[in-house]
Amino acid sequence: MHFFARRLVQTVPVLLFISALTFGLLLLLPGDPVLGLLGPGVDIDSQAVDDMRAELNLDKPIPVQYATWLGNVLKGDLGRSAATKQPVSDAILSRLPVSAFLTLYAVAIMLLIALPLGILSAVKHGTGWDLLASAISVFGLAVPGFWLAILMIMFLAVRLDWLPASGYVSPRESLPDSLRYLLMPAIAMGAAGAGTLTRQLRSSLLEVMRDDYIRTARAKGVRGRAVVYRHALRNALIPSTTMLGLIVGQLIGGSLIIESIFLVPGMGSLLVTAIFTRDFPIVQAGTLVIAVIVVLINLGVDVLYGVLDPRID
Amino acid sequence: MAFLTPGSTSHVLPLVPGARSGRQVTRLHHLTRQVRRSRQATIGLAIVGTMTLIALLAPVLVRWDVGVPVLTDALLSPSRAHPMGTDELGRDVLGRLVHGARVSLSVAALAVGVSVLAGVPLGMVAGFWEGKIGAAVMRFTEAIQAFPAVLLAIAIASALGPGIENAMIAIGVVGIPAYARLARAEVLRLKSSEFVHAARASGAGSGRILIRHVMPNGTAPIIVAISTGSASAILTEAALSFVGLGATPPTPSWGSMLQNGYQFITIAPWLGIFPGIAISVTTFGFIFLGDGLRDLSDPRLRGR
Repeated sequence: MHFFARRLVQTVPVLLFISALTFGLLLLLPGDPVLGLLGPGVDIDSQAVDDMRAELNLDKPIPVQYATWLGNVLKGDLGRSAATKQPVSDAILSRLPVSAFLTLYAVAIMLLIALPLGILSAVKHGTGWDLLASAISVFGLAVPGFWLAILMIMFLAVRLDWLPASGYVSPRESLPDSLRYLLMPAIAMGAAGAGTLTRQLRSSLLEVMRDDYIRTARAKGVRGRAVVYRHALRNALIPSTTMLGLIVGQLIGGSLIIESIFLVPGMGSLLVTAIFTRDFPIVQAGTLVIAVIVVLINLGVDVLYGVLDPRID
Repeated sequence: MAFLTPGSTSHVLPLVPGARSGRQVTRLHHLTRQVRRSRQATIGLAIVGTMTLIALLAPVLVRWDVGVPVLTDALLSPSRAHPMGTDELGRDVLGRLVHGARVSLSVAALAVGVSVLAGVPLGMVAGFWEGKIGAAVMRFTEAIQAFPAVLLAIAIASALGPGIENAMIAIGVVGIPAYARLARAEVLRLKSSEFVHAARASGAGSGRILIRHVMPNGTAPIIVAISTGSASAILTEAALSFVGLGATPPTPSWGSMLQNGYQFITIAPWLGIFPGIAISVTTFGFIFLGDGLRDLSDPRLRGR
């Protein structure tokens, strides 16, 4: 538990930095931040501008502004959308479950690709299989997810008509339909993560296979496959687990564009629409929420890491 | 999209040996000879080199009127006159891709420059003066890394407004932590070595030790990271342009060409294919170059 406590304490300054960075985005807006927050087409002399200025304490020094903003955020008040005037927190809460489900789906697909591929390339090290697996993983890294999305729409949806080109069905309505609609977005999101994870797994498996205890296991007469699964894989998975938090964070980053291509009503498409309509409060709050979620995922992964590896404490 | 985490393995031998400068020619010769020993690095370098040449020679390779709309030629499929077809304004796709290479590579180069120039000194300071300063720098880099790269770049660029310069700054800031952490790890590794003790014993100050002794020996992983980081920068630039935050029209950018072509995928699929190939081949080249260089700098993998 000592490790967990230390990790938890480290998270606090990180979260503070994150909030400062997202608050700081407001200072980057060219011109008057009130006009940026209210969106385009606002009359500079109108009552709304004065109200907003008072509400944000813009006449006070920046640290005071930040403290007020942070206090509001902690109370769950993320401001109001420039376009709809609705609370940003409502929009985010309605979008979050969609993105969470899609991300889980993408992670599942990523594991389905990366685990066999990583093991295959390490076990068949130096053969044609290794080359093939490495080529696939570099392909996953080099191809932009949103281009993969476009290619899949072109071939799997338009040309072959196998999958719906876009849209969303809630898993509560119909799980099979939901999985069918989200298959292409999940693949587009998971591909790059699969590339990273395959490479990580391959190199850590190769490293572990050189260890003495593997030689001991072989000398004892343990068969090739059992050595890999029972002895090597367990230790090789540990560094891959730490990578998982980072990879999931990047998957969520990829979801921004991919959700908007496939018209999935999640956080990503909410943010991209907000960028196009210059709805800055949503951009700011969405960025903050996603970053905090990524920090919490990483915290969870590290705790898991402590459980998996008894040497950590 | 920036999935490349540089420097996960340890680097023991520097690519560029020797703590003394002044033999640039020999160094370059040494480097090219090393690169040729790895097939991956050779392929990567060939791709990156070709793309750089295309970007540099774009005005010579493509006629000046490539960006001028010819509405009678709109949405022509690939032919002899237009090997990659034309877009909805009748502009030649191949010609725009060639000019797009200038945008992609220059944005990547300058963004990586920003990351390295800010990240490496930050990391060196954090490594050399551990304790409060080091911890603060590390928490700061963790905070930046908590933002998915594309998200932070998009958030910064949407606050700054669209445009190539703003995209460069956004991508550059996002890249800082990777170099800071790498430089810190190198300094931590090197600062207890004997040659650093020797330098200190002979009276060198901290700044001098850091710049003259530690830095030249820690360059190998940074060079590897620059290569993979360039791949990430190109992918992020494409993503920014795709959401309209990168190059503004009529500047041809691979990402904005894809965004544009995406609207015509049912009637003009070539518009959605060729820019993607250009992005993928270039990032592939940088990843291969980075992988090859990493293997070359890892003595455990030598002679294989």
